[in-house]
Amino acid sequence: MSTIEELMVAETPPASTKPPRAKRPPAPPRAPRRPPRPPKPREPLSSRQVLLRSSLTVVAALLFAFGANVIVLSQVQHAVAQQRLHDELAEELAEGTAPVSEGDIHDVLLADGVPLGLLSIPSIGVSEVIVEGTSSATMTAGPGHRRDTVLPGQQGVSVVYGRASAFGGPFARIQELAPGDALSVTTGQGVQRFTVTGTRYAGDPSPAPITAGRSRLTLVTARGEPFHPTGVAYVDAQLMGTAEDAGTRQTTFAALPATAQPLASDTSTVWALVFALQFLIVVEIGAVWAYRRIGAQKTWIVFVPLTVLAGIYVTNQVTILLPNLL
Amino acid sequence: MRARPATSTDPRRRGSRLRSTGALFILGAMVTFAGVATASSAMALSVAPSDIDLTITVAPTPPPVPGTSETPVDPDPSPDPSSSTGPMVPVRGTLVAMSGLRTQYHWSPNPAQGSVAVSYTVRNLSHSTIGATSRFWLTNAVGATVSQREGISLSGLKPGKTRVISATLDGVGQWTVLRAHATLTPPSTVDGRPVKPITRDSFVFVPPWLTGSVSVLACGGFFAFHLIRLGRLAALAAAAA
Repeated sequence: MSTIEELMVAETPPASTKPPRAKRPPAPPRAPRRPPRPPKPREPLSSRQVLLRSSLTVVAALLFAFGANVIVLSQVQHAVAQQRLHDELAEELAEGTAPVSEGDIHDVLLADGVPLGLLSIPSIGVSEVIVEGTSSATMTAGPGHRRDTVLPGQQGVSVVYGRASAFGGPFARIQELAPGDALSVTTGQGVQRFTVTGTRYAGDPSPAPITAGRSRLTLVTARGEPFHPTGVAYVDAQLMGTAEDAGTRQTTFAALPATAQPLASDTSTVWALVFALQFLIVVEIGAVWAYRRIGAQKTWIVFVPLTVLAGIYVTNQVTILLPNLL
Repeated sequence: MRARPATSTDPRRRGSRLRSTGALFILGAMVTFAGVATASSAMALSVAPSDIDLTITVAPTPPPVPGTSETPVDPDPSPDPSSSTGPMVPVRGTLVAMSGLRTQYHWSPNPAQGSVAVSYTVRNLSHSTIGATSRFWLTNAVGATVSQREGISLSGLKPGKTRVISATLDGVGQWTVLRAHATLTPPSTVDGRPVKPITRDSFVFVPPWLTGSVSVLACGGFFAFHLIRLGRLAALAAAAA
């Protein structure tokens, strides 16, 4: 071995002699600057306070359900009703049995909620089936035709109400219609084409009286903030073309019920609200009993769907009490 | 099987307290909502009888006779409002037709700015060429005027013609709930008949983006701080164990 090689061997340290580098121990967790506050001891509630708290909780839940019903669920209900009405009207139009007067083909007075025609306003994206009757309960399904007026396209003035906010708010934007805008209504007498003549508020000049052989359609809705009506808005439209013969009308303006007027409420189903509240109270009593006797988990599984059902039932009945143009 | 009563030091009691606070908050909001809804319904019902002019549409129609078709006849026919020409007879009914308001909010990076474009359509149903002036203004939830434009003139509107009047109202800011108003003031007499100014209004929603952004940031920061703090406490408890 040469001298250089001997030196290299001598200077190279043996690999096995180097100690392994020890890992740094994990840093201890840093304590928060401020420790959590100890919970304050709470005074036990009296039986009256417990009753008050429970009652307020139920009222809060009902109010929340009412708001959810008006703002969200009513839109779904309206969409489902319109789908059903559209199918029914399409079938009647195909069979030629769609109503052209206040009675059906068997001369039986039309019930509230029967589909009469399809209102189409392309400029604001409205395509709604019109139903007979203008009470609040009837207009949850769609725009309502006032019974004492002729059908759209027939000689005379036809009046159709529509909601501005709840249940789809089909007439929310009709005030945006400008004079000259087109709309159409498909009834049992064919497609009736109208052109808008203007918008009116209370106190504005009335349109010219309708002349022989002419037809006018007046759309009515609430004005003001959403869910806060401050008045009524009217949009008039004139028929383009020849008016159809007017069908028989049994209902006159004098015979029109108060529930059919603009912004009227419908109190004819208050009895159903009473039953709904009774059902809700029975469910709540049952839930409390089951919680104490059976346990929280089983009570939750059984009584939550029942409570939601009762809440929807109650709030539906309350919603009907709201004005028909809301 | 009864639920075991929890002591005051039990963490579940804190959760219960949070739930109670949340329930109270919801209750307050709901009571406020119910008050507003009840008041609005009452107001609507109280306004309805004087605010509704049913004779507008019903009076011209004669009472229908069962078994016959109703054919209202007007001895003094008026021109068709949908056509630009008509017989030269005195116009009955509306002389100047006005649509409702169309509004559109335009966002601005300056939280104190932002604008609302307001427009409407007017149609001359008379036999005379008319001019008019228009005023636009915005009011907030308490009725105070936020922005306005006056003196917008409309001239030379011929019979049967239609025109769109529009204005942009600045300084909307973060008011959130606004009402847009417009008044059209035609000549005091048209075709020899007196004509009154016509007013329209509309609801305008202005997204409160500044308040919303600050709220989102504050909530996000609070929850992030809370999560970090919980993590440290858990690690500390593990280290102590």
